[in-house]
Amino acid sequence: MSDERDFDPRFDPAFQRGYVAGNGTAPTQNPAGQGSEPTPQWTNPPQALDARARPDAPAMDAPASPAAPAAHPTPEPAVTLDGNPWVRVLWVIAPVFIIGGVVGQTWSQSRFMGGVTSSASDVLTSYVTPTIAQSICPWMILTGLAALVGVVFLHAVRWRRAE
Amino acid sequence: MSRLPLAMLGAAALIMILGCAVLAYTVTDYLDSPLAISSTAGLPVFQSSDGSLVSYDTFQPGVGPSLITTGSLLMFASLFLLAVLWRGRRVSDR
Repeated sequence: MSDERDFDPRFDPAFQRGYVAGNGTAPTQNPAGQGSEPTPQWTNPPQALDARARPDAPAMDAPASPAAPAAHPTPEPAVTLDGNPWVRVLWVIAPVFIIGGVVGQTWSQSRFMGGVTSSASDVLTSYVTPTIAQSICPWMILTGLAALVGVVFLHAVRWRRAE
Repeated sequence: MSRLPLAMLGAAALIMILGCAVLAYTVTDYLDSPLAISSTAGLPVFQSSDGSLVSYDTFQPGVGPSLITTGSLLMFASLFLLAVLWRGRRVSDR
């Protein structure tokens, strides 16, 4: 008794619609095997079936090699920060802003606490400039700290273990 | 891809230059308007270059420092983005 139904040759007929176990059902691709056992091609372990069902799985008709490495996706090569000019700029402006902000803030406070002296240039150096410094220096410190945290974060993200 | 951070960097430079200009104008205008000294005004008294005593009103920096601060923050943000988006050498090229 021959069965004209088509089974998908890629999968085991036992898991396809219309397969009846033990009644000699054979696929059309194997007409010489009437009444015989299914060929070993379809007696694959479940792991192989699962592997073939994945779209990214390697071709199963390739010769199996026990020394073949497992199929892992090739990682994207990481970008190193060596030679990044913008990181160097960040490394420069971070300490400049932090130190400049702290020095300017300290200087302005010392000028205000020192009192007003009597000379022609004191209007600018003892009152106007410290006022400007007190409005800019805190933001300079914050910006410098942000730059420092940002550049350290970049180095941490792009860090690779030495090989 | 790095056009936006570069544009941000240019905008930051322009904002900082504008802030410095505004601040310089504010300081010049402040120094050019001394007040007569008064014992009841409560304002600081300074000695001018010709030896006379002058007083000045309370100095208000205006928007100059705010523009400089905004420009510096924008400059930091653009530099950080440029550093992140920079694609120079890959590890495999070593």
